Amino acid sequence: MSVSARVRESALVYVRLVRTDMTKLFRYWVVLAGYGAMFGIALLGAYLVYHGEQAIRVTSGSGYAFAISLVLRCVDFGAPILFVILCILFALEVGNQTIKCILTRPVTRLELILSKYITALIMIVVCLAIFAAIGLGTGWYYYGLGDLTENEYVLFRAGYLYQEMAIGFLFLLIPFLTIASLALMISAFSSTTGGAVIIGLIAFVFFQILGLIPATLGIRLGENFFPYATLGFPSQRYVPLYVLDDLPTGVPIDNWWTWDIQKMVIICSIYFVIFFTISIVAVKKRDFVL
Amino acid sequence: MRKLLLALFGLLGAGTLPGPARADISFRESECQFPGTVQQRVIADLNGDQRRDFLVSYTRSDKEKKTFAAVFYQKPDGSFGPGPNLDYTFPAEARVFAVGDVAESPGDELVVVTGQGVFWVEKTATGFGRLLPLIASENLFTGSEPGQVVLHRVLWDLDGDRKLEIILPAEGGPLIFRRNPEGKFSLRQQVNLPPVVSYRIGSFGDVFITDDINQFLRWHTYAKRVIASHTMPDFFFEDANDDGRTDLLGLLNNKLRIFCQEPDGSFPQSPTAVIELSILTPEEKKLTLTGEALTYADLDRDGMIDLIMTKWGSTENRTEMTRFLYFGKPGLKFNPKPDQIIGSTSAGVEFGVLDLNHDQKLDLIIPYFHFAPAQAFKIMTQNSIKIQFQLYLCGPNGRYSQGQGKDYARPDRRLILNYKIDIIGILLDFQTLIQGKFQPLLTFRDFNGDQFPDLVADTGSDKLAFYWGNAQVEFAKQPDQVIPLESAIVYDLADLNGDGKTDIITYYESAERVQEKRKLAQKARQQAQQPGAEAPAGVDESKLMATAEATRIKVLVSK
Repeated sequence: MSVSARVRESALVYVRLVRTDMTKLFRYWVVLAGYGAMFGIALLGAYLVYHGEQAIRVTSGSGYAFAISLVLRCVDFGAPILFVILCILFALEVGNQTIKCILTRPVTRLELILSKYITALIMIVVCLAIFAAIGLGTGWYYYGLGDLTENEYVLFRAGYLYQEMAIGFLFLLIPFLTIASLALMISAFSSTTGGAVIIGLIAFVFFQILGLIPATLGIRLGENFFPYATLGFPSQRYVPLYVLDDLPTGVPIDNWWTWDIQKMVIICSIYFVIFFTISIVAVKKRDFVL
Repeated sequence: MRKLLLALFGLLGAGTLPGPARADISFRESECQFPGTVQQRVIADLNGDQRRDFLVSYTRSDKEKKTFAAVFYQKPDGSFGPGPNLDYTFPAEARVFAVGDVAESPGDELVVVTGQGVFWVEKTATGFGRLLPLIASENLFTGSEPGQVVLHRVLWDLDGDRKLEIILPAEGGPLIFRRNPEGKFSLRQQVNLPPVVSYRIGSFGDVFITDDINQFLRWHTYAKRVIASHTMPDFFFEDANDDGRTDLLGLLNNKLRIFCQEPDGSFPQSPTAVIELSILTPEEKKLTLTGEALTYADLDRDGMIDLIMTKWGSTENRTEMTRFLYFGKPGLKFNPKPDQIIGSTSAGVEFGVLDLNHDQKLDLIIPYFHFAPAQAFKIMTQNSIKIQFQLYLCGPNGRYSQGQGKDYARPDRRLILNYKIDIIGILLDFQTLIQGKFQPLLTFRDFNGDQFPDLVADTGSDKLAFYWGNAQVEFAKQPDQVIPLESAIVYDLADLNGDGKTDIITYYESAERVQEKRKLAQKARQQAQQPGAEAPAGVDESKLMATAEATRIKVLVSK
């Protein structure tokens, strides 16, 4: 068999596995409830935030500022929900014994776990798309979008803002993928969905707490300072939004590759490699027959 | 794989590479200390050696109602000694102090105002000596209770003869005392600018402050206490009408009263001009979140003052900070409508006027704060806050950039800085924050001597970042130079050694530190009282507290 044929066949396997996952998951009430919660809370949050702003008379001022603020809040509460959903991704197969059926097919264990990562990535993208849609939608509804203006002057063209927001969302994928890898690692070790969720939440909270280490504690790396709090990688999901938050103030993003983003990429990459490797080893070595 | 790693490290390195090399500045650092809590500071040549020294007024927790002064002399090499060269305890009758050349002794003198008049403090070989009278005159402090002796600018050169006049606040208006050729001060005039007297009857629930328990007394008829306070306007002594003479401007309650100096050096009995402005609509005046305040500056440097009316809050947004500019016309006239409007958003009302590009015109520095959840998240997760400055540069036509047909001026530059906030420190020292003393070192001064104000920004993490100024007012995105310096919220910036470069004095003391030191003192006392150890006879709590109380000073003089 030629290389291209093998690649096509392998891709087909991934497509089938991911499609099966998506079909299964989006018929599972827990997943639907999770996404429903993300959608509903984001929408309700937008409503409350807007009216809260009006009540205290401290307004976002522009649709973009409102959208970025809302996405930040959504990313804050949405990550644990998504994490819980991802925790059951593999454990569900083990708990329902469907893994045995999958492994009787011509599917390797590596393909199986990698397909879960692809599914997780799609679920992350769906989640971020919901946040972006609600953020921009409500921002448009309440304050209007279009070119960003300040005191009648155009600060940024709409195209530039969407481009920067797209870059920001791409960077957002990095911490979310790391969160997903933690979820999948725990899921790979779990036999029941309940166990995966409980252990997963403990791990998530542990890493969140690491993010509470005072930012003044850390190590110096040449000119830069690396706070220990960065080890709490879930908190890194805010970093791209901190950068995006400059836009509504009229400050262009000249350079995305700042030390804050570098720290996020470094620490998330390290964690991802660790969790990814462990999850592959776990799936490869684990006896799913018993 | 190796290529991938090299590419990754290359990419990481690219973001951290230093920018193009620039001429760095260097400082000679001295560390000083005095036994008290810093209150106010004055920089002056106090020993007549043509080098600028500094005087610090301070208090001690074991000696309430007393104010002290410590003087640190600059040495020929620009350094300062570890302790004060002179120490002084203000007399009980002192109310305010100032520093200036008012007597024949070398250098500037320490001037003390009491309820009876004005005195200067004699300098001897060993320290400060007697109070010597300059003026005997009753004034606004006459009959007042002793309190902390505070710095108040009473010395001004009104006629440009390099001899200081004394302006003494008094009941009927400021008293102006001029110095005659014999060196004696005599009353020249009392300007008809009396203080505004406000009053209230009884206290309002402040029993913990005033001991007024009677306000809660029932079924007992009495005449409540009468509280009256005198408010002298803010005084500015500047040329308001481009006639080359220093005028007197009094500003209070958004009312600017201008007394233009006559050719004979006197001021008219009634103001040359009275400017009263209000821009709030009747609806806005009813709101608690809006307000307005007037000040002035000669922004376009045409010799005539320009008015700056700041309005905070609006019916739509309480964080709106709008400044209305009225450019002065001959005869101290102003258009009824503002000539330009600067719109911004901020938590505070502070702003600055400074010539940033050395074009002799004043540019506006408007702090900008973006109220967004990202700020709160950043404070919590990264302990840092974004501070933005919007810079409005005054153009050759004496106006700020503004588009055709637009209502608002447009900022020419935007600067954004990250300031590390010590959350725990703020929580422990909350009083400093609410008293408005939390002012990080973020300012514009010329540090490299090129005549262009540079931006100096304390990072909040014991580093001081310099961004060099230039004719285009284009500050680099990354600091041009960073030096280690313990972050401070009390500081002075002045050219101490006269080399044209700004030097830095920082002061370190906080309630938190005092508390820590008090704990140490407590520990030391407990150790001394352990069995076998010699117990200190009659431990004096206040003395221990005072022993722990100290202010550290760091002086950075440019080399």
